[in-house]
Amino acid sequence: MTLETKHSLFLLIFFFLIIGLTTIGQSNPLFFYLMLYIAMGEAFNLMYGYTGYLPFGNIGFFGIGAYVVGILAFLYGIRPPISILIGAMVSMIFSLILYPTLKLKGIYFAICSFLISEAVAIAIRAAPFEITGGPTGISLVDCYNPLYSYYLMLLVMASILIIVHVIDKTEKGLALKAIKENVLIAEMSGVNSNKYKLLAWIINTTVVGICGGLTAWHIAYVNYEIAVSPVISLNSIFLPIIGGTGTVVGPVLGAFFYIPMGTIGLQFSNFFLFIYGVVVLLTVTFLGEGLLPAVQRHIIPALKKHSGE
Amino acid sequence: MSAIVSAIVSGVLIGCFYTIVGLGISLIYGVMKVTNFAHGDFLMLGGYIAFLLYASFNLNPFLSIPIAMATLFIIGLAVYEAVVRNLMKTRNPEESSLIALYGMSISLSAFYFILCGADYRSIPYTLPVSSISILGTKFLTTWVLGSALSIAIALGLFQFLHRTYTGKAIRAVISNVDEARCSGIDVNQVCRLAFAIGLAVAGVAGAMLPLFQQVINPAGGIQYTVLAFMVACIGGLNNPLGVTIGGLFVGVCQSISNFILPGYMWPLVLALIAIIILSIRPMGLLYR
Repeated sequence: MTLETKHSLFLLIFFFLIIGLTTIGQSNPLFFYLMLYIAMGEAFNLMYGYTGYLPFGNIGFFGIGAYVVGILAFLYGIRPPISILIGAMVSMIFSLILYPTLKLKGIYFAICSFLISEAVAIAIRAAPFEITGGPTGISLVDCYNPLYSYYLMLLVMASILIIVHVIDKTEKGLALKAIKENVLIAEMSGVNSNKYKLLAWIINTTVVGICGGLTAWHIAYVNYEIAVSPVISLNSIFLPIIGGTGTVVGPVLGAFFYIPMGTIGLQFSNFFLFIYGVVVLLTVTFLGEGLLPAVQRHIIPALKKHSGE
Repeated sequence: MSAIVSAIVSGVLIGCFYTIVGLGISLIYGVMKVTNFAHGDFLMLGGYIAFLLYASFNLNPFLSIPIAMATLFIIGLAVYEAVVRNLMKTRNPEESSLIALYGMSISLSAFYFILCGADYRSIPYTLPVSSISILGTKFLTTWVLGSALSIAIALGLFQFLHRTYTGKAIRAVISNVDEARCSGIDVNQVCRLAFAIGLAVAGVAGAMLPLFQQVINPAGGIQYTVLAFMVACIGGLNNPLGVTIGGLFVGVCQSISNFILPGYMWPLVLALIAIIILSIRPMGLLYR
């Protein structure tokens, strides 16, 4: 009995569709955050798992998306579904401005992207309070609608899952993986590496920007701590890493590790952070590419061998 | 005019300190291509060792600098054996070590929270003279002393790298691992030593934090990691001389930015400068 990726993704989307109709789905933010981390994890995966570029500063684009939604509602009264699209555009344009950073190799890109997120965080903090609402933040109570934001999040999650799945199946995924292995050889075999890198980078930043806007809409509030929250930054990096990058299902699996954190409410506790860090350290050190590739590589062959005998 | 001069002088003074913050990271990256994202938290560990020694035994802070250095050296050996060695065997050590050591950084900072609480800590460095005049401006003696110590440590490290056999082996591994291995250098040994030295320098820098009126607090590590990477990336990650220039550059930029703009703006200014420099010279100004 083998479960194909296509079917498991379909089941997952169906699961969230059903959950959204029940009272649990509408009252509990857990499922929204689960979808948020699946979407952000897949965006991260497209960059890191496929292209090999580590987008360490995705939270900067998240903050841009969230604050665009907040500021548009605050100053001009533009309501979320439209302002989220504008936020995505702004995030995309910002990522195009940062196109030169894609020239950077390996660790320099990761550091540069981290510096970008730091710059965005400080710029938001330093912006005039008349625009950003200052430390009190911007309330979006007027347009609060958990059901709509839930289903829009579902749409975004389904889209990014399908995009990553299609990229994985077609020669685009192969090209991206070739860039990850060796840029020079990839270019010599006819892969336009700049085009593919730009594609992955734009999809990544746009999806993260949309996620930021959606989160702001779902909790109907934007402030500094939410827009550039270290918790969301940590989760969006660590969950796909634990689950396994370079596969479509890996980040989904990783996102489900959010359930214990989200439900027990341990997110901010230091004991939890201590364990979280150690888990990530051990995963990367000893499993290499995360849980799912390790299972696929070691446990499944062992099981097959066992059942064959 | 004199205000700008004094801003530049104070930038140079703090720049010397930033140099030794960046040196550890660049040494570790240069030798083993491992990105030590927990550098700032190891620096805080040095600070906490000095603080705890002062708080429990009332030890003179100057004596705790070598103790912090020795402790971090031993911790460095242990961390290398337990973690870094395995990280070097993964498929792309640069990125996976960045994530793994980011996890370690989160753990360490949470550990300090649990152990010492969230309070800001500092140690009084008491000196007979409170201020020294440089180019017509008075500076705190602790600042000048801290810079002098930083310069001494950086010079000592350079002397070690250029004069001793072990130092030469480390430089050989930085320039080419395979050739170094072929000429009979035990690369594993060199990596272990380089990691331990990198952390020891971080420990010294941590114990010297109070000299520059910087606080020791559990969440402050990440800010020094970012600073160290800015210093090292601007100069070129594998070039110690580049790191020195990067450190002074960052120090002067910070101090001039503080002079013109509000105090919280300097990380933004520095991040933008670093992004622009990296866009133009992708490997830093003086990459070898």
